[in-house]
Amino acid sequence: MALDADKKQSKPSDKTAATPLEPGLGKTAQPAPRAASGAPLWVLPAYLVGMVLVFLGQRVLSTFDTASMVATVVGALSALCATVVRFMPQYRVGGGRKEIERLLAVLSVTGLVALGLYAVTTDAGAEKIGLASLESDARERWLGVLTIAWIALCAVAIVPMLFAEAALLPMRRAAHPEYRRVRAAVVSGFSLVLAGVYGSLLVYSADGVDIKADYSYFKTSEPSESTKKIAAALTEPVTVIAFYPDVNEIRPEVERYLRGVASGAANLQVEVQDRLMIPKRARELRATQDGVVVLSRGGVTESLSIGMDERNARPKLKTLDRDFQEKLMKLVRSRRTTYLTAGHGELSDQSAGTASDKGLRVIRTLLQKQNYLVKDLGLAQGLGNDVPEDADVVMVLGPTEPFAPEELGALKRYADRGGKLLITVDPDSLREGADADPTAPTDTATPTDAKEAPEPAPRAELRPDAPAPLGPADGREGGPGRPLSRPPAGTQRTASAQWQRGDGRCRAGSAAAAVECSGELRATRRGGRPAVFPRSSGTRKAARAEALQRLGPSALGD
Amino acid sequence: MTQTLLIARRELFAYFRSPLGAVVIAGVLLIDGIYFYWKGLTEKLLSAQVLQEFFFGASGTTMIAAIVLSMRLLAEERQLGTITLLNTSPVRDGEIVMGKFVSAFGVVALMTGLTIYMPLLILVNGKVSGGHIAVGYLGLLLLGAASVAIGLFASALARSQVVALILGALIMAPMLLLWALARAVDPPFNGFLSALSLHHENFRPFMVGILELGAVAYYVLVTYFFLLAATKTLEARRWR
Repeated sequence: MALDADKKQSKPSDKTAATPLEPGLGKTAQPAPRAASGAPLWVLPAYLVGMVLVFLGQRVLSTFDTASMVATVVGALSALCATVVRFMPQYRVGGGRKEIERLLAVLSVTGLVALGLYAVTTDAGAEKIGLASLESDARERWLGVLTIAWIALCAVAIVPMLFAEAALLPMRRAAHPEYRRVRAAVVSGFSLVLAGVYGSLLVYSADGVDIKADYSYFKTSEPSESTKKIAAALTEPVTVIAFYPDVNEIRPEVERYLRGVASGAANLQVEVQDRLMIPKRARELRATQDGVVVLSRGGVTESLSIGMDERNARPKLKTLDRDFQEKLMKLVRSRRTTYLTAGHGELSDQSAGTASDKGLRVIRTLLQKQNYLVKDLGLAQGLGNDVPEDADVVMVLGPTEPFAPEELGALKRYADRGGKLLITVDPDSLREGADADPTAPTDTATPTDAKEAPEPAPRAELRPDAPAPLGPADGREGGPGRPLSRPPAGTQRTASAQWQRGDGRCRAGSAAAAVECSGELRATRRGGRPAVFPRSSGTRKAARAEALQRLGPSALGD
Repeated sequence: MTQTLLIARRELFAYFRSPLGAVVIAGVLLIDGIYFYWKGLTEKLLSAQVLQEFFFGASGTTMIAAIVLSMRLLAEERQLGTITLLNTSPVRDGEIVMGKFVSAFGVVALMTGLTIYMPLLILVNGKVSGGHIAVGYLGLLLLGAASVAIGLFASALARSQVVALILGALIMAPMLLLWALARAVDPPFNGFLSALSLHHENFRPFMVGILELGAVAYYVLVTYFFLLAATKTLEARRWR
């Protein structure tokens, strides 16, 4: 009500301002002074339509060249003409009207400046002013700033202009329109626009900072330290591209994870792309659907499907780190073959019913995750003749039955020619009462004793989260690690396997590192017992003593 | 500040002197309860998923309740002619707007707080983290504040409560659907529109128990912007 009262009291009436006195007043009535007119009423619609046409031409009709060009040119000309017309009244009016028209003209020019800035952000405009020749990062930065600037200027021009026109409308024909009203309206519009622009930028910046705290019960996988170490140790550039549309609920989760992995990894480049925006590249990487993460190194690719919707992607997000690490390992390590001996009651011997042992399953899983192909090797697979040529490593895991002489000969020949052999034996697992052929241990089987271990040794422990070594070694991955020597007294009594090698080419750190140790590999378990025990009859203690005596001092290692 | 609190107290009592406040609160509790029963007891969901669904449903009722509660704030004054008293009293427009906002937000907060027994019921047979519940409720309060501010702005524009309700819904609906529009727009506008979405992008982190600075900043700024717009609308009597 107060608003209406205000209007009635202070708003100049069109009639009192512009209408001549009533005819009944006679000759003495003087005609009212003609109101100095401002810009025509059609200027504002022409200006707005021009801006909308430019938008339509550039954004909606961009696929139709002719229509886009016509709409853009017509729109720009319309806005330009409206601005020129807006300036004209300033030269024929004075007072408040002149101030009002000047204010509106300034706002019109601001809109044209916004159009100019927009033109700079187009391909042709960027090329003309040299933006196209800048580095990719610098160009993107400049284009981002210019885009924000033209949008902000557009809003700063149009919203206050609408407010000003709304304030001016009731007194358009008045002889003396009140400039203060129009200015108050412009200030209101201006402050609202600035609040909106600042607010938008603040939200955008807050999103960019990516500060968040996860209080959920089921948390999305975070990059583990081992994955980060693998990424940081990459020696060749690896590109990771997540194919997700710009608006997708899974995309931020995947992007957050990948950025976390890439932080501190100089050779890991992460991109999140809309597959439809880069169809050629998606084809090259064989990404035929969205919701896929593709890892590529040179011409080699590995893909990880996560999914697009929450229901499908949720379980995969939980195991994202594990799956991503597996794919990354496959990408950076060549495929290798590991043979696990079978037929002697080994832990890996499925016929012996011990293959379900949890520890062995962990070893198998670890090997497979690090791109090892795991195969069985027994008499049926030709161990009686020789170790297959494709064997990168042979593992003898806790046999309880004696090896045939031919098998031992094959393993010895394999070790002699530089093959990698890992032998672990637990005397506790020797089958009681079983006859054994007291086959002499080969050179590769050398017991180490805790009492004779003067030097400390780094341990290679079988841990699921153990990082894999990367870098060249033995002509493959794995750098020249620290030389392993004998472990100190008391440190060998551990459930984990330990490996030693005197030539300094082997390094500790993971199961993969362990199986890379070749030649004079010595594996001990549980107190430095002989790696390969000839099974002996009698008690365990007697068997150990007998074995050590038979092996003699030379077996204690170099 | 004193004037703000005076107006807030007067409006808060007004909600409970009329049936509006009680009816809205009862309606919201009824709908939330039915939705919680439907999701929690008739569907095979994990505890955390039930909690997410509860926050999803509660966000809808909170938005609607906020618009309904705020429709009367200024439109009723205009309808009854009492806005003249406000305009002529020694109170600034910003204080009027802030006082009315505080009162409506207080009712929304009370209404939201009364639903706490539902998440606590999940704890009887399920496992959810207290942090998840707290973050979800923070999201509901922020969404309620933003909705009240939008409704207050609509109420400042309208001359009757019904028009204010419709206007508020008309302002809120596009803001809710911005994420759908974002899918049809080219970059970089799609990201911009998606970030401005009132619910989809910004409320989801609260639903799943993630406290994001960006989402908090968004709701605070939306609230501020519409309160500023309501203040400017009141000030417009100087130039309209």
